[in-house]
Amino acid sequence: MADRVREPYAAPGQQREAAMMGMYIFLASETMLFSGLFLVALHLRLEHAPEVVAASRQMHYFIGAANTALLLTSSLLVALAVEAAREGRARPAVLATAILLGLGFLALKAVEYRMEYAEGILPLPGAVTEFSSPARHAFMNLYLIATALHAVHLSIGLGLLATLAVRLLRGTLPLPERSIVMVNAGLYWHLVDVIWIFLYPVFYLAR
Amino acid sequence: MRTASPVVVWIVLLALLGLTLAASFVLSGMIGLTVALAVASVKSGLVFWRYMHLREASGLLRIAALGALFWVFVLLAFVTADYLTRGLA
Repeated sequence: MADRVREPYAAPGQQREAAMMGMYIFLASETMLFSGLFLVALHLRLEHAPEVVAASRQMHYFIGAANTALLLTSSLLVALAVEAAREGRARPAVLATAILLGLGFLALKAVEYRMEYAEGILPLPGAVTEFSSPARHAFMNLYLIATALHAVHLSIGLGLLATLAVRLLRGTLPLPERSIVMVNAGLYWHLVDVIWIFLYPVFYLAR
Repeated sequence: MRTASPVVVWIVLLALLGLTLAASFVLSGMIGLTVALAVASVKSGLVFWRYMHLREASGLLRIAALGALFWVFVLLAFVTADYLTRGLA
């Protein structure tokens, strides 16, 4: 049932717990990375409320909502695949569907960036932009940095899930013995979801 | 240990997404911000509790997983302390 116990662990449960703890601590560092950006967002909101609200009203909040729904659904599928793995069942199709939803998120985000670029509110280097105040410019800078950093994390998560889906298909991931690999990749994917859960209201729904 | 199936949690998460979207049409200012962040916190709590295995984790693992929350709180508290006390002098 459980994975082979390796040095320095005494029991499978202890080994599993150590693996998860390592992942949780890594994810805590990711949380702190993003919390710096959220701190700037809070500062902007407290110091320049009218400009932030005006900038946020320009955002395509339905695209953001659709993307939130895509990520929440992909998280459900990953949770189901992990649960199955822990019971010894490989579910590569479920994982593949989660990957498709993640790719859908990136595609929608690209469409949205394109629209914002055309509207002159996406402050990419070299882009022609027009902002009515420096605070609105700062808000859009932060939006671009935060969502792009999130997209990078999402892409890494997609890589992890894709690797696991291939291993499940080939049968090179013994289940349930090595299900901890699925558990930890799932933890990463869910944290990327949690970060978006906060990014969405902070950038799209400031009123 | 199937107290709440992942599907039920997913339905609640989507409902909360609807709620935060609806609230943004009615609420604004600090109340709107507070409600939006509260809903996001509940959603994250559900993801951590059910999808990220904290429901079944030991106390030590829970502390490791949620320790960053404490540090985020310290970060936000020290910065907002400045804003919140400016009018007092």
